[in-house]
Amino acid sequence: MPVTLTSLDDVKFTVDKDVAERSILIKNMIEDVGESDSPIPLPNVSSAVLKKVIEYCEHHRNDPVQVQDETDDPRKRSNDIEEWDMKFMAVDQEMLFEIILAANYLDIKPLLDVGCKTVANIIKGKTPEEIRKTFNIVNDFTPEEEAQIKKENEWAEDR
Amino acid sequence: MINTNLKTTERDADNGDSALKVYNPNEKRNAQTKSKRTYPKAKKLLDHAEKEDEKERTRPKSRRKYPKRTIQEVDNDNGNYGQPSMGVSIDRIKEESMSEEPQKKRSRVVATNHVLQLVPINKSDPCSVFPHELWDMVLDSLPMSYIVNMALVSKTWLAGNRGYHGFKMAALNGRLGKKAPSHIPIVIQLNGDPLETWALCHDCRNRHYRLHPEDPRAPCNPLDPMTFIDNYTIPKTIAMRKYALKPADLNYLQSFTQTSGHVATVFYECEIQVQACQIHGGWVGLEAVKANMRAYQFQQVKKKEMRYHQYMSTTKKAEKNNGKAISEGKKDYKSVDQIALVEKFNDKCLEEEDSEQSAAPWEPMLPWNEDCSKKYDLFGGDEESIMAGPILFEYDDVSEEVDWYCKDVAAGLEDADWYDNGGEGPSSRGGSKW
Repeated sequence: MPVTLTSLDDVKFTVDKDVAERSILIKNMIEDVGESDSPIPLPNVSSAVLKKVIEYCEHHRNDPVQVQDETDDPRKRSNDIEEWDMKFMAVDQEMLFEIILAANYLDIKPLLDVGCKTVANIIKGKTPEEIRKTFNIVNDFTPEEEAQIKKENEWAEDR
Repeated sequence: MINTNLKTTERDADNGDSALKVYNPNEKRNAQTKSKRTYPKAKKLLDHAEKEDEKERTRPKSRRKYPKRTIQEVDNDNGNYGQPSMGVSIDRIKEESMSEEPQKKRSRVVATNHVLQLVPINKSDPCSVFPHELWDMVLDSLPMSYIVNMALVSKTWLAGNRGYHGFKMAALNGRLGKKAPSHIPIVIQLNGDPLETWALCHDCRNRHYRLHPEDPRAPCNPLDPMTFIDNYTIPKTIAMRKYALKPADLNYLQSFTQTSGHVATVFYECEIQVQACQIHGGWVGLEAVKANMRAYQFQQVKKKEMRYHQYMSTTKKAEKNNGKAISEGKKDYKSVDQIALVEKFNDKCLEEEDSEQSAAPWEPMLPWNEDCSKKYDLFGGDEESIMAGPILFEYDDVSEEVDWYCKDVAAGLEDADWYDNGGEGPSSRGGSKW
């Protein structure tokens, strides 16, 4: 049975129920309201972002549902991203952040993980100056403040 | 005849309200007597207020708390110093600028807005865009050294990284930003070199003891110093005092009730020594703890002497000054006598250590990783022995002077690594000198 989703800019997307139910938010809404033809409003997601999210959900419609383990240490998880996911995430930074925020709102754990790993991979191996250039950030520290933070961070330096 | 007690009422002309003022002919007389009185405290306050006013008037323009701006600048900036509007309309600022009120008040309005700053969101900055939980998820995929390094990007990133649960845990476990009370300076004696103070924390001492267990020093037979008395017993109080133990530390040790003489609980001294070494991290740790206790006792004695000296000096001077006590003696004591006293104590401690050392030489504490070897090499690798104390200073004073070799322990990050590495010392990542 198809489900209709309405984006922030009032664009309607009709998708299969199993695709829509990759989102825990939508799944819970369908369970609460019951099956009906009325569209599901998603006021926090723009049409461009929703389109990308639906594309991801359609590709992963047959994936097994991840069981969240509370004791699972996120640091031990692999940082590897599948090839398709990597290509899917090859978008401009603003869109990437929008997708992550939408995944968080719609509660799509795998998409959220992939998004966060992508951002982490962008940051990884860069110096603070390179990070500033990448994300267009202005350095608002005074030289004294910077020296102070460097001194505070000495304990974590690799030796 | 005029009745002087007659009271009349009149309206308060200044206020023009209905408050009635009671007229009393004696009022003038009271006022005259009052004026003769002096109020030094009030006068002081008034003088101070006048001085402040004078300062405010004479303060140069360049030293104003907030920069003086033209109305044009305020106009361009919407009156908020580049920040979003905080509820003061531009019209109001214009009105105020046109009015004849002093400039000081107008600048205050703008200055009040300056205090409340709203940072605009940079949409290309993930740390600004993401909520805390999402940013934490991003940081989860990064090693801790990166996370700490990333704090240098901007103030937003600094705040984001400091709020990260991993950083908080590391800070909590490693007591970052707090004094480490378990650090005790250990004096290392080098041939021909001045003494150098190193610091070993309690954990490091324990690790060293586990790697290089030391034998107990059983008491000798006074008649034959070459034979040890293994089953020598000592009472509980002496055991606690001699080996810096708490009653709870003796709970699981074998004890007996002494029947000869007065009744007392006694322990085997060998067992007590092993227990003390395990708790304090070998003989080095035990001696360091004992030396620190000595320093505390010395401080108490010093305080007493100080009080006595102060008493004596003031009474002597009081006699000279016809009974008027003054406390100038304290300064003399601090500048001269205290130093002499400390030196005296230093010598005493060194003498004690020499005698202790000849009785029971210290095992050299060997380094177990490269950094420490390098450190030893710097001094020619000819360290003779390690001994504990004397410690004449508080931890607060010593923190700046001593090389802390326990940074990884203080950080609380690499404890597990040390054991995983087969007891060979901290692993390469985050491992450090101890």
